[in-house]
Amino acid sequence: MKIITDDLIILILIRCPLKSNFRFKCVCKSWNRHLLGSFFRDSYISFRKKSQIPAPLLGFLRFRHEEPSSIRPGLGTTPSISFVPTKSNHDHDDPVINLDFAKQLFSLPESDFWRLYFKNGYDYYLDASPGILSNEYGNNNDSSQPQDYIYIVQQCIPGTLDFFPANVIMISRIYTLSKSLPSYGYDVVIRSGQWIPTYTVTFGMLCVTLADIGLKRWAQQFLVPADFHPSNPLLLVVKLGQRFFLCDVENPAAAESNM
Amino acid sequence: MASKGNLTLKSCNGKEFIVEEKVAVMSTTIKNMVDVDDSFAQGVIPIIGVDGKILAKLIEYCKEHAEADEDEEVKSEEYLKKFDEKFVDELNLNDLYDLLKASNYLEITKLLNLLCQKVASMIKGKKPEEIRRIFNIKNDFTPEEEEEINRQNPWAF
Repeated sequence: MKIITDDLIILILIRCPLKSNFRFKCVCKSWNRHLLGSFFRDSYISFRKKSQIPAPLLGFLRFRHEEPSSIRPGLGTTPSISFVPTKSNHDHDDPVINLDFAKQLFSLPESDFWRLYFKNGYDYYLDASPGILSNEYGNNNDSSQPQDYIYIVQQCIPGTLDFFPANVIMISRIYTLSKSLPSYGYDVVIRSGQWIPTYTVTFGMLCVTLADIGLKRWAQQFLVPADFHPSNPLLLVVKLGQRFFLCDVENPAAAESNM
Repeated sequence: MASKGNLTLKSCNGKEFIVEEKVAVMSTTIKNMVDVDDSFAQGVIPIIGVDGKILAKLIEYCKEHAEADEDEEVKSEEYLKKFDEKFVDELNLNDLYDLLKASNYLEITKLLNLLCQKVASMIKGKKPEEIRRIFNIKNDFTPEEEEEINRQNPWAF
């Protein structure tokens, strides 16, 4: 085939599975540039939405809290992060979650944290707590702002694909209360047992690392609304700088009793 | 000169096609030309950079779809789907490329989408070196740079 123009390349690549596209980055410099660009990302997302193609599930980020933080002892632990791709032998289509896959998730050690991770650009990864299904979450509606998409996970009833809505805690702003760390303040929004179609995040004033704020501990200090459902999972969404973090608070019942 | 309701399209190698207006205006580019300048509707519309063989293909596609848009009973959705499949399956790589370029230039959106989908399903799952061969792309990475990209996404290979 003769050399193909850039506008056509984009039109073709948005129709390819993400896994293929990750590989196509090393075709040549110009493809690499296209695939990392925001134009590609936006075209890719709007094409998927328009064609009602389900959100691809590439894999998970595994967060392991092993070492106590050496910087701020007692406040949190330092997570080690590794990407765990979904097990598929071919990439003719992006993997979508199925019952086998859900079972595979259930067999994961419960002590591992699984979180959603969003990198600026389209290189996002999906991940979840064991037994959690992916679902598209909202974005910033203001078109003058860069469009960020995050995917939120929903917990499913073990052994089935029925899932129920989660309680979502959204930290919309994090700021320092004093210059002497580790005092942080936060603005928080809690939604119970439902999915919010869109939500505008007030971006953080301060970029801190995940380990800095000890997310789990914080979640247990939040006030919960009256319709909070203790049997539903409790998810915590934090946007730090350009990154979204999502975590599944391990024991919502305990969290509630601490309120 | 074409009779009323018909347009004359001329390929870059001088081949003329008389087509019904409803077929020709499947192309947004031609529609805009006809809407803006009446003389195009009377005379000959030059289709720059598209040869007779490709233009005939384009017309074949537009004709089926224009007729389907007009009368759904004669040409059902299923019929069109089969037609589309057959249409793209019969193309060789060079024709596919020429048609892609032409449908992009002429803004025949439906056809453009169909062809892009075809190319996408042709290349997905392929290795970078196969992609370079298909599109005639020179690898301008140094081996170190390529290695670095591979290292970032080992799971995709």
